[in-house]
Amino acid sequence: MKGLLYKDFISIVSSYKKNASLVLVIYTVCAVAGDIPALLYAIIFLMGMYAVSTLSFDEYSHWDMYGHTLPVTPRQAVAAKYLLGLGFMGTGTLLAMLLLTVTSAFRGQLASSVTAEHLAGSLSALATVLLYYAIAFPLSFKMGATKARTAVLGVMCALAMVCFLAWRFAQNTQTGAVVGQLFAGMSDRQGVLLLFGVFAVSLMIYIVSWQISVGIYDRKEF
Amino acid sequence: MSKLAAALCGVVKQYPDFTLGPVNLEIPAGSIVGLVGENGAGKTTLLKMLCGVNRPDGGTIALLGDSPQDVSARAELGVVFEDAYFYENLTGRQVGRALAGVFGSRWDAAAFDSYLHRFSLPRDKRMKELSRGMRMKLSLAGALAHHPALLVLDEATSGLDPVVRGELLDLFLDFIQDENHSILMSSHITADLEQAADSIAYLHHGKLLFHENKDDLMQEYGILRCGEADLQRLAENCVIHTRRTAFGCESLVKGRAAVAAALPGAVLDPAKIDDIMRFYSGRDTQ
Repeated sequence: MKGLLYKDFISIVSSYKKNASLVLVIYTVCAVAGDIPALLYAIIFLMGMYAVSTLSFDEYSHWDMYGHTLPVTPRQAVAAKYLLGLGFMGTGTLLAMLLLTVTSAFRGQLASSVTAEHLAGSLSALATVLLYYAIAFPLSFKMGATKARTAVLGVMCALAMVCFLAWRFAQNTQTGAVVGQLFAGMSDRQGVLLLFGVFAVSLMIYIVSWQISVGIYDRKEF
Repeated sequence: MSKLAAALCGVVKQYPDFTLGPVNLEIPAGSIVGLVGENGAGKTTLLKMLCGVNRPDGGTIALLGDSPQDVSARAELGVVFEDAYFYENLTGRQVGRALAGVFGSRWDAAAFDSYLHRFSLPRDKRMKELSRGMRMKLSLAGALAHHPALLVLDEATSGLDPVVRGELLDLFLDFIQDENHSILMSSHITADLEQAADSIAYLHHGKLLFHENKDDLMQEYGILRCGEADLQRLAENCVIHTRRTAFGCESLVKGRAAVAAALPGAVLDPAKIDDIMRFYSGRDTQ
C-alpha cells in the first residue's frame, strides 16, 4: 500500500504543484482583501479534490487493469485512496488554520477567542468535506470520476433540499425554538464536545464509505 | 509430467456480445507460449483473467499453483499490458519507487536500475516524454525487477521497431534460461513468436483452436498450390481451407508429409503462423 500512496502522492504533486501554490496565494489575498476569512476553509475541500482526482489519473492511464495484477488486495487499493484523501484533507485543515491565524494577525485581530473560532470553523469544515468525499469516493469508483462529478452534485443538491425542508419544518413548528434553546443554553465545553461529536460521526461515515467502495471495487471489471 | 506455470481449465467469460471459451490451456514452466488470434478473438480477455484482473464466469485458473486472486501468486507475476501502466507524469525513477513499495522485499532495485541502464532509459524523464518503445521497455523493467516466475505480455512488441523488438526477444530468451521462468505473450507480430515461442496457442472467435509445439506446427501445416483435380485426390481432413483463384487453388493443409507423398508434383511450402491464421479465419467467414 505504501507504493500506491507514493504513486498517487507523486502524481498529485507533479500535476498540481503550480495550481495549488497559485490557489493558496489567491485565496489568501481574497480572504484578506475582501475580509472573508471563511474563504480559506475552501482549501480543505480543494485538497480533498486533489486526492479524488487520482481516480481520473488512474482511468486515463488504465491503471486499475495493471494494478489488479500487482500483489495488492482490493481492500488495500481502496484504503490507499481513502488514506490519501484523509491525509490531504488533514493537511488542508492545518493550512487553513495557519492561514486564518496569519490573516487575523495581519488584521491585528489575533486573540485566543479568534483562534478558538478558527479551530471550530476548521473542524466543522473538515467534517463537512469528509461527508462530501464519503459520497464522492464510492460514486467515483462505481461510475468513473467524470460521471461521478455530476452524480455527486445531484446528491448534494438533494441533501441541501432535505436540509432546507427540515429548516422550514423547524420554523413552522416548535422544533426550531427547542433546538435554538438547546444551542443557546450550551456551555463552551458542551459546544466543543458537540463539534468533536459531529467530526467523529463524519469520520465514521467516511469509514463506512470506504467499506462500500471496497465492495464496489472488488466487483468491478476492467 | 512437466511443471506448470499456469493452467486454465474450462474457462468461460461471457459478455453480451462475446463469449470466450471454454478454454483449456496449460503454460509449462520454462517455456514461451505465444498466444495468437485476430482482433477481438479474446486474447486480452484471457490474459486479464489469468492475471487476476477479472474473474471467469466458469472454469478454474491456476496461476503458479494458486488462484489469480491470491496475492502471493500475483507477487510472482510480471505483467506488461499494451496501454495500462502508471500515470504519464511519473518518471522512471518514481515508477521504480512506487513498485518497490508494492513488492516490498521482493523488489530488486539494483535489477531495476540495471534494466534501465540496459535499455538506455533516462531515470528522470516523465513517461509522457518517452517514445512508445521506451515506455514499453520501462514497463518491462518494472515487470522483471521483482524476479517473477511468469511473465505475461499483451502485445508488448507491437508498434516497436525491429531493433527494439530484437532486443526484447533476446531478453525473453535470457529470462526463460531459468527453467522455472515462463512467458505467455500475445502478439500480432507472428514473426516474433516464430522466433521466440516454444508453442503457439491460437484463439479464434473466443475458442482455442489449438495449442501446439511451434516446431510441430511448422512441420505439420503447409500451403499447397495446385489445380482442382489434384486437390480432389487428397483426403478431406487434410485440407483446412482452400482459396480458389484464376491461377488455381491455394490450400492450408495439415499433415504436410502425407500431402507431399500424395501429390509429389505440387508446390507445398511450410505454412507460417500468419498463413494458418489467415486460412482458419477464411474458412470461418465462408
